Amino acid sequence: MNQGPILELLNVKHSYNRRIVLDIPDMSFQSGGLYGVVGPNGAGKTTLLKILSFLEEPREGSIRFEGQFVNFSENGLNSLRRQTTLVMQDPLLFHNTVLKNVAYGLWVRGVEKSERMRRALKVLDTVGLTRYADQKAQNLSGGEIQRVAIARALATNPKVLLLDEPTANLDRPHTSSIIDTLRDINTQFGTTIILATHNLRQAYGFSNDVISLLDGRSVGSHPDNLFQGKIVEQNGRTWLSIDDSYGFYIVSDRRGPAYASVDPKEIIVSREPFDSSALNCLHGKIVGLHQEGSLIRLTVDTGVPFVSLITMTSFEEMQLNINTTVYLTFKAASVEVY
Amino acid sequence: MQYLFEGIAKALSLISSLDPEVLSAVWVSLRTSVTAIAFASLIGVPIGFLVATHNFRGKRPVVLLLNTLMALPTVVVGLIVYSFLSRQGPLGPLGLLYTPSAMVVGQFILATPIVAALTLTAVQGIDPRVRQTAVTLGANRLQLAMTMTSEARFAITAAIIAGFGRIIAEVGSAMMLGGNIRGYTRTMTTTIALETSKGEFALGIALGVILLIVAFTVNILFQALQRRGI
Repeated sequence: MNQGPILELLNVKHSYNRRIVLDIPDMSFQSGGLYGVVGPNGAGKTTLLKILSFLEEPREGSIRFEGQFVNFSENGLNSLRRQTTLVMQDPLLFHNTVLKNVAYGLWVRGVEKSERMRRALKVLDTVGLTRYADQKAQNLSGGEIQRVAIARALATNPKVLLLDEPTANLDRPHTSSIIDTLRDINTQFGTTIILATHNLRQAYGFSNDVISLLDGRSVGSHPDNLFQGKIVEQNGRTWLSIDDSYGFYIVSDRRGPAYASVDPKEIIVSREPFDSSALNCLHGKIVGLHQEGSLIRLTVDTGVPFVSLITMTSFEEMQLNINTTVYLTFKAASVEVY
Repeated sequence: MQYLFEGIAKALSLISSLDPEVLSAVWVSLRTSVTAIAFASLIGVPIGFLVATHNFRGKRPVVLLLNTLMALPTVVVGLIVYSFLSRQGPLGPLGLLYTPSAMVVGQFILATPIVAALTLTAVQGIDPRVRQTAVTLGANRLQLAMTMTSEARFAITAAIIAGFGRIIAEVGSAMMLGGNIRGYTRTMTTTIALETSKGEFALGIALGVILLIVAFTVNILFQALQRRGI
């Protein structure tokens, strides 16, 4: 499906009240790709999606859609918007029936009534809400509203579908059903899907490529201590094997290929082996030191680089420096598996 | 107090016997007010919508003006329109003075700012996500305006009802511009004023009751519309 970038951001900067909320020197999305955008609240995920769906014009920089520069002051913007649809984090349904909501995008495109109702019903079926077709949208629960909003976006069959935390209000079965539906749409129609989430597991499970945002900047595509490996059984315990000689214990019922990450704050740093119930104890030399506010970010080469965050006080008490050998201890339960 | 009770009893008999004078006043009132509110809605709703959705120089004074005009005294409107329509006035040759059309003009001027100002408030109160949702789903300007109006439809209907309530109940401009001609420009309110000044309470009370029934019916209809919700 990859036919080159469908969307490109070039030197895009956006600000609210003079505060820069997005600063992207260069970012591109391939046609037919599945993308995850991760980051904490306020990282700029929503702003990025609004810019990518042409709802907001960036203060600086430019956007290219299918190789053409987007001109926000031009009349043609509406036809571009019809090719990209954003499902908002807290979606709004119009004061109308569920079916008419789903058919809205088809109505604005001038699709004839019986045809738009037929297509709307079909999409409503894919999100499992056909029985609510004639109900007032305002009577639905949060999760149902989210599913109707997704159906409404799918009905327009856009080239790019952007979703802002689409499963935030959904329970597990509905979340996986929505994710499966999105994958199907991507395979069937080659729709480029960009999904913003704070759920790393979802982002890595869903996407070909994950963009991490922090304070409006893309900070590489990986969180700290992200490893790709294989979950196997070892000594009666679950082990993430990164290569033949390297790995650590985790807690998971899954087996086979997986991603896993360890929160740097969950790692205890010590100069001697630390006696505890934690299953994982690695050692290595400090290869990087970086101050982050009142914390120190240590990069330790344990065979693969491992990042840990410790307080300035601990750092000074332990008299750590580059090349100091340290032990890193963390519980199997602190490893997040994707 | 006796005269009042007698008045009420006689009023009920006038209503139940469908007294021609009562019916004529009700008809003139409804005809002029419905016509005036129809024109006021056609002009006032778009004005309110445009002012609410556009930022332009002088927007604040325009909003202030609309709000001030909501409290326009009816006799002032009567006076202004009278000066235009009277024989010496610029529109004198049209011969509209003391006709239902003149009353419609006066009521239109009274109702339009109310409809416009309340529509403005209604549109400003629309959830900002309505615009973003419509736009991202591909709505053009006209479709967006239709969607926004549809989302604010209850508040806009309430604005029209408020305008209607004002003009069906007003007496000043109807009296000055219609001339209170029996069977022609005599409305419910002008009849009440006239009959009361003559000490004839019965007809006045009967029409007062009908005015209340009209207001009540309009609001019942509005409520039913809101309950249906779609």
